[in-house]
Amino acid sequence: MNDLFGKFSDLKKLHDMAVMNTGGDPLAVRIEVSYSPTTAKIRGRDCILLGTNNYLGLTFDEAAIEAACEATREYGTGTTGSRVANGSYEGHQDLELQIAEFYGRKKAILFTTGYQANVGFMSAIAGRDDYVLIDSESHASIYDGCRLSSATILHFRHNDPVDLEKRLRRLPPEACKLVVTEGIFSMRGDQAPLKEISQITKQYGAYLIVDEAHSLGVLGENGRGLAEAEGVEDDVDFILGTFSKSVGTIGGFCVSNHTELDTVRLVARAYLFSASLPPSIVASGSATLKRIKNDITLRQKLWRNTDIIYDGLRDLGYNVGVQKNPIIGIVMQSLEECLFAWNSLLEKGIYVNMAVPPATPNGTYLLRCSVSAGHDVEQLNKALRAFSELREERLTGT
Amino acid sequence: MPKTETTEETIVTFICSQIANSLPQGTELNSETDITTDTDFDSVAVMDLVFELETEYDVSIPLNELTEIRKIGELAGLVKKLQMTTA
Repeated sequence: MNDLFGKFSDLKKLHDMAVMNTGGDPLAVRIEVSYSPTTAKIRGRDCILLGTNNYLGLTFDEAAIEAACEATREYGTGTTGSRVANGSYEGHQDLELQIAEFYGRKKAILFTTGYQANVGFMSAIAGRDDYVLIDSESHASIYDGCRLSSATILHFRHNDPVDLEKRLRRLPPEACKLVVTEGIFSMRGDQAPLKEISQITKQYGAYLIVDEAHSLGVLGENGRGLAEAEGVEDDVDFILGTFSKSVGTIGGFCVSNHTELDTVRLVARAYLFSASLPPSIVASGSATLKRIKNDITLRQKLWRNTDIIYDGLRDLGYNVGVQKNPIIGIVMQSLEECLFAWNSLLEKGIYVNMAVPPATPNGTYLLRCSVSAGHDVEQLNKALRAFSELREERLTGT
Repeated sequence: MPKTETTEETIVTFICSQIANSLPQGTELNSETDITTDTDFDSVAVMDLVFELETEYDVSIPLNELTEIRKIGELAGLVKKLQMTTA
């Protein structure tokens, strides 16, 4: 009998090396106690969390917790069904109306996760005669959704409107074309040049889809994301998003003004064949989405904190990327350096994400930091001290 | 070079030159070389190679067609086919 897992032996060796070098599995960090949006106990040590996607620190929002508890008491722990069967409660439908209203769009569809929203939407909407052009650094969920569709899938160079236009120009003018990009890219925290991309997309009669997963609650005067910040909301045909970052829970959605959006409910397998969100999640998501809309101070604090960490890391000499955003992907020179740094920071009580190929752009090794409105200045300064010590350790070899 | 004059052999040569940069000097590459198993190219390196081919030959290579490609000759054949389609 063939070894079913033999094809993964190289990847396994890499993983085993990481475990050996860090004294634990960096892909299986155990959060032993969660104290707050920004602090937790890991490996018996109290840590500052600088590697979540909890941009607005809303996972401990009192109103959201109360709403979740009340919804569980009233509706139970789960729906046990898909949205097209017994899994559409009034809360799900009301939340869709709320999401649509938040974005100023006519329609919204709620999925169980952001990943499912992307996979479900892209695999359903792109057909055999269609062309989909995706940014080369698109999230796995976009690649996977495209792969499941029957469309012709092309990529364009990351954040390169000139390259996008070159590719659109090669396509039959009468063909249906969809261009997909992201508000803030998840690894290095850079933003799409959305104004230029939207102009080119319009010029070639293509649909524009923007995944605002990391930009909801972060960009735009009202927290609607990059399309709002760039003044091009009218040019974006479909927005995909998630509740697992700023909204502080789990869930995914698609919003649009397209009159036929509801057709997706009939054709998206990730919608049809997956259980819907538990009532508690719907309730807490609704509560925090309300807060995102009404409480501008969260975003203000997030950006003040981003200034502290981004500027501080940059001034320490770290390669933090050209664009300042709450996601800061610090480039390390090698896997060995990345592992050492990640482990050293954890021992100093600072948790960040470690990101390695093939999950990272250009084969880079990253310490991925993300800032929260929930951080206080003392925490951020402690984190910067840790990074400063780390730099010293590497320079002096101690 | 005009599209109609580019031969598959030319494209094979180009691909070999791109891959050779990351291999020990003197490593033999030809149209039968399996890109995924005979080189140490990972998915990131393959994507970089695809970008280089697209720029050199002014084509857009569908990602869904790449999944069927293993050998340098197959990749060259795909590029040639795309060139002829858009000529």
